[in-house]
Amino acid sequence: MAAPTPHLDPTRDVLVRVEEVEQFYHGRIRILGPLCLEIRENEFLSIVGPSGSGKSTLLRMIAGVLVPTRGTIWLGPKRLHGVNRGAAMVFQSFALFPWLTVLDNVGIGLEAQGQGPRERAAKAEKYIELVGLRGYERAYPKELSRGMKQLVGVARALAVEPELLCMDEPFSALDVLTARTLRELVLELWANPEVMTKSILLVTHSVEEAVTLSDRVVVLKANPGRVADTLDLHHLARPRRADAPAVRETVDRIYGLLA
Amino acid sequence: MASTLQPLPHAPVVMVFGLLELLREAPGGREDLYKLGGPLGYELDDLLPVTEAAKQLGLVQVVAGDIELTSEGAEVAAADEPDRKHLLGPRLATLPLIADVLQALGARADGRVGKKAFRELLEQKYSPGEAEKQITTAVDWARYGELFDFDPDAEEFVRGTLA
Repeated sequence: MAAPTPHLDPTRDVLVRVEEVEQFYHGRIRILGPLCLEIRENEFLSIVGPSGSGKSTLLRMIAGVLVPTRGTIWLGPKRLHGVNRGAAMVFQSFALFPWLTVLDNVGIGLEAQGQGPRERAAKAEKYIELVGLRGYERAYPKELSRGMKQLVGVARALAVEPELLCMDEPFSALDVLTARTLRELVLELWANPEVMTKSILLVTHSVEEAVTLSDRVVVLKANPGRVADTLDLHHLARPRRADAPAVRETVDRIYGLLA
Repeated sequence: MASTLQPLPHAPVVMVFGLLELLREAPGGREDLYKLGGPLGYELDDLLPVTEAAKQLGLVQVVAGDIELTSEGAEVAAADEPDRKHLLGPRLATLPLIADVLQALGARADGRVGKKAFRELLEQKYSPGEAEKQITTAVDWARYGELFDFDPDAEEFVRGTLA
């Protein structure tokens, strides 16, 4: 399986900068921040942390579906207002439309972008093929296994050709073998020059998953959510095996930070 | 259509790939079948349809309680999509029920055949629930291999893919 090329240039462009964001409940209970982080071009960044560390909240802020109480999210030189058009989401629960076929589910984001039917179909077909779903175009979600459903979710997100793919616990609702296949596939797609997405942001509670997949890992602590540390994992050779000593060591280090 | 009476194991295609990838990383490309379930959090019963499916497809072999990749299995494990699909398609076409549906479709000028006849045949051996599951699994695999499609409105198998 093709390993993504390592990107070692620390000066490369920043895609998203989260600057001093804070989130309050009812205007007074601080649940997150102040917190800063950046997502660089061509990187796979994971956010790990216990529940209550605000990792999904942070993801939703970056996707532009939640406005932080304070602070700014920058997309390059521009301040994010409203939905982040450069980002697409993959959800833990798949979030497919049961009354639409696979083809129409994958094409739905393109319709929102105002693309014509022919362009829409061509792009949907391209990403259906890339995730290995050809043959399922006319199937309905209920006819698919959970793994296949999430492949539809991934194809739908990639089809809008976002710079940033945001994934919120995308493998948590899958059995271990299926999750393994999908993790491999996401890495493959990220390395594929035909896929336009530059960077991936993964929110996960699985430290092992974050370490085997990411270039960098942001570790959050809870109550309120804040950055405990950010680890650079470029030195870990890919493909990474969960039982490799260097991977195990890094996993243990992160557990140490969370303890 | 005698071969339809052989059951298809109910394993999603992506789970079979997960097994192949796991074996690819295992020392010597083999694992003790009985030890495999534990670390994965599976009961052996959950794992059996997956190993059985991989076996029927000629991707793994079980020798003295060990499961290991065949050379074809290693090839599929190492392939990316859509190559993986192209490697597996011809193997899927030989499975019971899938082969029978393909044969029936080949004999029809319109390239369509009703599900009902197959379900009745399957119900001679299986419970109605299991007969339905056999069809669901066959359709899932046939779609993955781009062998035939299923039209849920007409309840018919369709040659090629639905336009």
